[in-house]
Amino acid sequence: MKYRRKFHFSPRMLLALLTAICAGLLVISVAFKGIAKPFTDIVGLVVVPMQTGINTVGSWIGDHAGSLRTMKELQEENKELAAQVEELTKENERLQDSQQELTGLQELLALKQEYADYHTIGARVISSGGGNWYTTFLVNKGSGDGIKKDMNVLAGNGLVGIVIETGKNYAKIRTIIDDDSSVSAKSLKTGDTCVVKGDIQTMQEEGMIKVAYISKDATMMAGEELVTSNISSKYLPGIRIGTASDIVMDSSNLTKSGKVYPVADFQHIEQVLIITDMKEVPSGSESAD
Amino acid sequence: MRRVLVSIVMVVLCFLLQTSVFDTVRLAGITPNILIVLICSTAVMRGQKAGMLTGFFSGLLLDIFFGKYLGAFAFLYMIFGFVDGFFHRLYYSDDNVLPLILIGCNDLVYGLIMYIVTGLLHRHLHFLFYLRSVILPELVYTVAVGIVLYRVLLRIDDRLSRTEQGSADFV
Repeated sequence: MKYRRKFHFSPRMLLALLTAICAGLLVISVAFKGIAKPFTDIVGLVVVPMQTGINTVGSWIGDHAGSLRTMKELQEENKELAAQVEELTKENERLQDSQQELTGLQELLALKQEYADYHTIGARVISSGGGNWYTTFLVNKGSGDGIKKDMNVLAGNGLVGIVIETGKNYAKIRTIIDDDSSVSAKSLKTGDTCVVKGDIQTMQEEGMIKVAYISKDATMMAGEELVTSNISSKYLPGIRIGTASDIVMDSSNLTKSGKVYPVADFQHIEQVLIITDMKEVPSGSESAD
Repeated sequence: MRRVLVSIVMVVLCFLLQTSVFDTVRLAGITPNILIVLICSTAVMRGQKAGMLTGFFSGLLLDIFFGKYLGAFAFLYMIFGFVDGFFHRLYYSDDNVLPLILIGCNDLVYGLIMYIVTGLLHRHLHFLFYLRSVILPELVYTVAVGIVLYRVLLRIDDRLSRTEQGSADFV
């Protein structure tokens, strides 16, 4: 019956009806933030498994496309790799020695290695922001796996972004290169604080994002490692962000700004680590980012 | 009824393709806008109402998943369906050029609107940069994918029309 009735509408009536629905939805979603959450959850339950499936097929094809290489190439590669394994085994032994020495020394100094202490959950990227205008993506772990909003996300030992939304079986992550993102940071060497701001344009053109609000007296130089600072309200301290470069005095002569080359490879994010520890600050306290 | 089911499957399929598969095979960091291809093809082949409904629901799906506000993409895509539907009268099924031109125009308009909305919000006014690195590559990629996808959609439409003949269905 429904099907039949739909065709009595003229296109203009349908236009008016759908426009009204859109306007209604817009007003509702602006007025009550988070009202879309139940819908998102329901759709997520249906769509996310499909996305995961498609991605598995995609990566399977990607993996097997490479197996068409010739035997000869593989044999040569095998030889090279065998040599490399030998070399690496030696190096590994040497490193294990130094690691033991390091732990010993750290215990002596009663220093805690904060970075290794964070609890993490691994997750797989299943979908990106659905176009070329966003730098957010979805992963296949959600509130059902203990993921919460504002958890920090890592890949390749560098900060990738932060969880901005969770559903039962997925979480949406905003990367630090997104225009909306700003992270309070400090230089590992000099301790100068600054704010790392996402910028899609400089990211695409030079592979770098921006850093601003460096004090004019700061001695921070290009090539220094930036990590998340202790005064951030959402980001845990001491996570690597990237390497600073191009630091210049602003035209106001009050602050300096520059660029950061991020540690994480934003072109090829497949797996991420989500830190389940969360920064706890009293509500209402001032935040730096 | 069969047509409605096929349409729903196509919308979901294109949504999945756009957000998953084509995202892993980005060319130069750009994903094609398959939903626009779907909406445009549907509107041209089936008329305004089908185009608008396809646009509305695929936009709604995007809104639910990625939009900040419900209804924004739904409205935009529905308008695409409505405007493209005007060309249904000019269209005959051997015509391959009209749908592709429309797909190109739609994607250009989409790019400009997205530039205005996101660009102005972020005070990014480097129009030429966005034109060069996002809007135009997306347009080329979308039209290229459109050439193939439009054929597939046309086949499906043909098959459906043939089975509907004699069953006194509405066209």
